[in-house]
Amino acid sequence: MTNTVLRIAMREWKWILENHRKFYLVLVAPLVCVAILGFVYSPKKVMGVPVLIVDQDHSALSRELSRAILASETFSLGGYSDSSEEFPALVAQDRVHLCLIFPHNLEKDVRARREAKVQVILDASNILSGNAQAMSASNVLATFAVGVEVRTIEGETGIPGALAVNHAMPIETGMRAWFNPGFSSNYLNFLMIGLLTIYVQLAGLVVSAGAGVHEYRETRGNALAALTRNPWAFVAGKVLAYVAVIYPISMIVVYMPHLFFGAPMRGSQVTLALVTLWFTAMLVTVGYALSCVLADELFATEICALITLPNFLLSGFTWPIFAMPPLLRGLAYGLPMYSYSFIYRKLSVMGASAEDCLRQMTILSLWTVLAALFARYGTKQIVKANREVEHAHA
Amino acid sequence: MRKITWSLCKREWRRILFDPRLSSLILLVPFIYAFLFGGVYGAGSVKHIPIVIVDQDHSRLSREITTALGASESLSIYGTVNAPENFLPLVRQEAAYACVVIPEHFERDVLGGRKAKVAVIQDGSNLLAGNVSSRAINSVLMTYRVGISAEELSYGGMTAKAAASAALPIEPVLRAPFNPAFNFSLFILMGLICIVAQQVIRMGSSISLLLDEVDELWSGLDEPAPSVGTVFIAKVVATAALVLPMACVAIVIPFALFGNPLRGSGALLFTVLTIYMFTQIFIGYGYSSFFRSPVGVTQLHLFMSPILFVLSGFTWPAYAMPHWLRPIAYCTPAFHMNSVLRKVALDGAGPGLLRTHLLALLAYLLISVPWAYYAVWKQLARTERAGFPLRRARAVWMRS
Repeated sequence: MTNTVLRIAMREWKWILENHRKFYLVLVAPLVCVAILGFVYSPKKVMGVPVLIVDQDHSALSRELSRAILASETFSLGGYSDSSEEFPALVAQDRVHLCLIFPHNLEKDVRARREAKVQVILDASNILSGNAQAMSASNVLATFAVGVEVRTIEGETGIPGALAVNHAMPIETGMRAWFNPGFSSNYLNFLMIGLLTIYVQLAGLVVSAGAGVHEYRETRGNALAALTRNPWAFVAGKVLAYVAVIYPISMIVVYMPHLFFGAPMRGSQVTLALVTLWFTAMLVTVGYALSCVLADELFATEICALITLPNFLLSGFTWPIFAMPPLLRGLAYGLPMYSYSFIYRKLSVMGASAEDCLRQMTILSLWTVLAALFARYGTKQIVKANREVEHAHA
Repeated sequence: MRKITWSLCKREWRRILFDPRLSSLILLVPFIYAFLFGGVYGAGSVKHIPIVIVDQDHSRLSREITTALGASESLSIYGTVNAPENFLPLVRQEAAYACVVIPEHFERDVLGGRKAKVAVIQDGSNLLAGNVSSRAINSVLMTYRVGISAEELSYGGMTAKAAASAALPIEPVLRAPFNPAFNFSLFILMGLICIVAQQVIRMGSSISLLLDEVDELWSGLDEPAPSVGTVFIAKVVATAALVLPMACVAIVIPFALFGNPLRGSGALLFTVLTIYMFTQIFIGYGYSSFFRSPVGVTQLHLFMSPILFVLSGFTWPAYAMPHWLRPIAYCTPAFHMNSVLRKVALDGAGPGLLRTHLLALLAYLLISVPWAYYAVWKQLARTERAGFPLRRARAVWMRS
């Protein structure tokens, strides 16, 4: 059996080498695309959001607040204005994305202990940058609010400084974000993993989408039926041949964010390497099976595209599965990308063990069994077609 | 000329509509994806994020805070655990995403005027859920902080109103006029549908051109040989007549079915969409000039699709990209289309404010026409053996 598998794999490698041109794109594209994605997210957080400052107070406090906001790396000065009316137009022209309004008598109201409001108008049409803006602006203003409150308490009640701080902040919130220290903004740890899984999946499926088709064209001596009667040996040989080509590319893609862009790798690298091998083999089996059954490389490639493209959004990687409508939850759990992307995230970002990935591994196992049965069925189709050709020749 | 063009158009429609793969790719896929994405993001925001509570105080105040957290629409209490360490396995099993730790003597410290700390531990690996839960927890705790602070100040002899102002001396009032509820559907749905429509139109046009055989072109045509220009016009018009209504309906889905607002002009949106879709047909033809087989061009489109979405600046803003990547983002047609789409729909912007994006889209249209023309000419040249009068085609090309 082992010899047969190796013989079939060698035969497939020979075919790949003869048709090497068509593989260039599939092998090079994932590396180039993941490198570009890495560069896009390399700043890790949204910085330099241009701010429009509407200072109607022209006081020391409003100037101090402006300086504090602009000192934050999230913001940069987009301009000054007398009113916020031109904010929508400036947003439409991409010139500013946040507007801070310090109203008349802000300082006077604060000193007189009257309610003083600072208006913050956000461009939340982009939620990613909107969240970062809201959080940074609130932090800066909250720091000032506490400072002012402490001074008020000291002045009003005569409570000394340290105690006044306790009165001003009776409940302090200590926020810690596990697995993503630059929380609220570190998108490299968050999005990159999901996006590169798309490329691992595309490479595995697309490369093998032609693996079965050419078997329909093989001549009698080289036909599948002449090599072995065992369909499993044929499936194994095919999968071995394509995994040997795709796996190194997948591993480079998987390690790229860690090696070049500073993404963490906290869990077991051996487990990650094994799961990547498993996932790649499963994808290659699915691609080969589709290729056998459809007998058309273009059609098989299109089906692979239809499977892969919505996967990222449905896999629960960005929008959590528990927040999806119940009907879509089942679909999300059933997608192969869900299993791999979550295992990858858990191993690399959370430092989890294989035990923590049990649910995902169960789904991956189910996919593997289904893919193997599907590939066996496809192989039988080829054998049947080859025999019909033989009979016709006879 | 008009008769030949019309015959070629009819032939193109027959080719696309009677090829189940091409017709479903171009005409059905955008709808399926629009409904799928709409279904996922229809809720607008992430709600009921499961959190765990570590209540080491077991006081009235800690129970009150727990109840308030549970009452928040964004959060749901998964359960209570004895120590923060027990939260880690729950995160890894995707059972809980945040943990609020209320320490021992919490109430006593608050009542005694000592600083009391509440620790919040977040699963930062999913920033979307993390941002929502962090904002919800902070807002609940802030309410308590201000309440307690004002109460203490009023004990010190201040009037209730002055105490309330002193407890929150500078109130930041956050407003997000274009997306008041930070609705995720408003943010992403239109962009996704636009990208899907772009990809299937490009892919469909490329495949359609590469699968076209000139010998077949002649069958059923009694007219003299058409020029490359006539073939080109007929193909573009026929494809546009099929894909444009599809793209318009797909783009309307978020507004009609998923509650997205259209604050600007629908006519402007339609005009820009028309320009954009024609550009996509031209670019689709253009790409096919690099390939001999439709498989290769399909693979190229597949690999380019995610990268184009990221570079379009729809999720990660272009100004936050590294400097050298920004020009590449600006050179992506999707960047300008998505900007127009978002600004017209959410900001209600008019053509005057979108001048740069509109000019860029027109420039792409003009650049992509000769590229597509070349691709059609090349495809016709490939089939010289079929008897197409290439010399004439070349002469037309040179003249043009």
